[in-house]
Amino acid sequence: MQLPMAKVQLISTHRHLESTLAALQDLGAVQLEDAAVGTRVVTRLPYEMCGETQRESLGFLLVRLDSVLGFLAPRPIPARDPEHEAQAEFPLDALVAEIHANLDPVAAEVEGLARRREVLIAESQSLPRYEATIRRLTPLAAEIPQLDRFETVALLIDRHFEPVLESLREEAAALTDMQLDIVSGAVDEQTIGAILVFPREYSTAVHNLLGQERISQVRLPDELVGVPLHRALAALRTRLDEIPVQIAEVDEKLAGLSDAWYAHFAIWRAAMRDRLAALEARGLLAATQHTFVCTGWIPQRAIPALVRTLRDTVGEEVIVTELPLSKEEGERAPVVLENPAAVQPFETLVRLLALPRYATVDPSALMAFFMPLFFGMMLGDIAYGLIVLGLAIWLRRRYTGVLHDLGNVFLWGGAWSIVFGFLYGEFLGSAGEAFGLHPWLDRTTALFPLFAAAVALGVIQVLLGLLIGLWMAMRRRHLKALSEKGGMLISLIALFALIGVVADILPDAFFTPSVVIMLIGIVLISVPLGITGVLLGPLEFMGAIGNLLSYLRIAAIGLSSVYLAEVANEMGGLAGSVVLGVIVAGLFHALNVALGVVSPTIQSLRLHYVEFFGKFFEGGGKPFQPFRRLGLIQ
Amino acid sequence: MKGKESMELGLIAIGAGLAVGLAAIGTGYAQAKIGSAGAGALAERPDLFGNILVLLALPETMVILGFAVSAMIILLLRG
Repeated sequence: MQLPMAKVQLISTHRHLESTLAALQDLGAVQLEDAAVGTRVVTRLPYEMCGETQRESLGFLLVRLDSVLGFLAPRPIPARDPEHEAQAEFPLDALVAEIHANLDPVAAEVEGLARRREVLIAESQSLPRYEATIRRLTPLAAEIPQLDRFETVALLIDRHFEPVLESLREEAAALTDMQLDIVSGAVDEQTIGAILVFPREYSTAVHNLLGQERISQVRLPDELVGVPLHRALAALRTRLDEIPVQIAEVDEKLAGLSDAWYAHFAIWRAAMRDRLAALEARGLLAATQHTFVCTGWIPQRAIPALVRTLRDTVGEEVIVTELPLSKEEGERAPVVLENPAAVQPFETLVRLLALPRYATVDPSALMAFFMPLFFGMMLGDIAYGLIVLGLAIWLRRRYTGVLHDLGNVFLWGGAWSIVFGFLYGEFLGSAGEAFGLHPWLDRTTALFPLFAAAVALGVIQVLLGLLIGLWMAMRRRHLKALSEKGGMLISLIALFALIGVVADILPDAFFTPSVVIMLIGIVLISVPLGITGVLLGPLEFMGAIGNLLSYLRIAAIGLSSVYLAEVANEMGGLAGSVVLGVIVAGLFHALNVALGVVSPTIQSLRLHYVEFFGKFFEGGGKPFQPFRRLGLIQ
Repeated sequence: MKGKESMELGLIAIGAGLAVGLAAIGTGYAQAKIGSAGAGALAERPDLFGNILVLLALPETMVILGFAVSAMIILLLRG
């Protein structure tokens, strides 16, 4: 459910600006709004009070701290730290100076080590690429004597282009006055290696020729340039052995710096974030010559705590007023959802679609009931339910955040799967019969009852959605929505009555009234839509019938799970031996479990988002973002 | 089982299979288009996940109705 929100205005003197903002930040219950909007009397805080230059320098300092912390290995940080709490009292300029004095030398060292590490890693990845090439050329290099006046260039040419070598030999010989030699040979089935030897004074001319002919040379890394090929391989291998040792040395130094500084920098970063938030909050304040004005949203129940905190911190020179809300303002209020612990995981699923707008219904609790029910009805197997429970427990233990919430959802889903497993008499499909399990409702034979149960659930949920939509329309005196929801409700009820008459459940006397009520309902749906309602009204009604039939998927997916389990058992039975049969059946059951976890979850979500929420849910809510201390976030 | 009865059963089975199979092809085609567009949108706006999931799930009504027809064929005609 949503907490009722209120808009408050705080007025105090300039000398209490900092202490008021600090008190608000400590309380963490007020979302600040632009106080100057919509007023003609007040203006912004004077420039010298806004802390613009301090904001800029704090911003740069934060970026530097983030950068250095990114290079350091994380270390545990205590949840509360007296040093951190004391930092909040320091004058800002003194705190910034202290941080710079410690950060600057350490940051230079950390950044230098990080750069060195990157260079070493790049080298360790690029050098092995040269090894294969050098190894292929080394036998050729052995034929060439080492002469200082001569330069060598290595080439690798595809066998198809072998004739190029001959023309290259002629042209290069002409360029170098017949002082060039080429040693070539096959290095593998597709490649010919060649080494050109020529006097160094012809180096430019030969390289230009190679460039014109677009012949790629084998380029060695800088440290191996000038090293004779027959020694280059050994040098390369030695270098590859040295690199991990050097990387380990760099890592050891970085670890030492992390041990010494990570916690300090993290604490300072948290303090700087809070200070920056406080400076940025000044941009939202309005002011007169002697006072400042602050407005913001707060949960209504937190107003007494706000007044108490400000009285304790600032004293009597602060006025707190609750402002009256217009209808438009009310719709723009931020949203705070508060639900019991069992329902909170379903808030995450509601937020996946959208946050409900302020003063509309929060469907989390309804989803907490219906979604696991649908899940269990679809999966409906004791063994699969136990596996899902195991998965849920693992997710809850291993993860936080969305995956932890998903674990809680699966916990309820698994429990309902076991309940429906007993109802359907299913344990790994029909294998439960071997344990004396008897179905109350056999899904494979009682198709009509299964379909009827699925559609009945849909009827309950859709009608509930329409009732909620109707109640919201009545509360807001929204006549068009009232007409639409009311019309849909009575036309659907009239339709059910008609079906009852056709099925001989209700007497024939109900026929005419049902038809009349259904038509009235369709008219009520059409009227708010204007002239197009003539066509759209009946279409909307047909769409609602389609929504109800959509719940047949509960039966359809359940049946597919049952038949896949049957296939698993049949295939296991056909295998030659017990062991092989267990393996084969196990694989099919594993596939069924995987599908059984994903498909019912997605389909239950879809039924909620489209068929149920479509009747009353209004998204577009703004999350509540209070002005508060962010704390020591990793 | 007599030849005529088994022929009837076979035709009912084919009809039921076609009802759900053809509907599934239509659903798959629609969802393929929506899914690829949705993946592109999600790459730029991850907050649209819920809306895209809803859009992706909408064409499934076709295959559910196909399944309903298929089930009706089997249950009503076989009886």
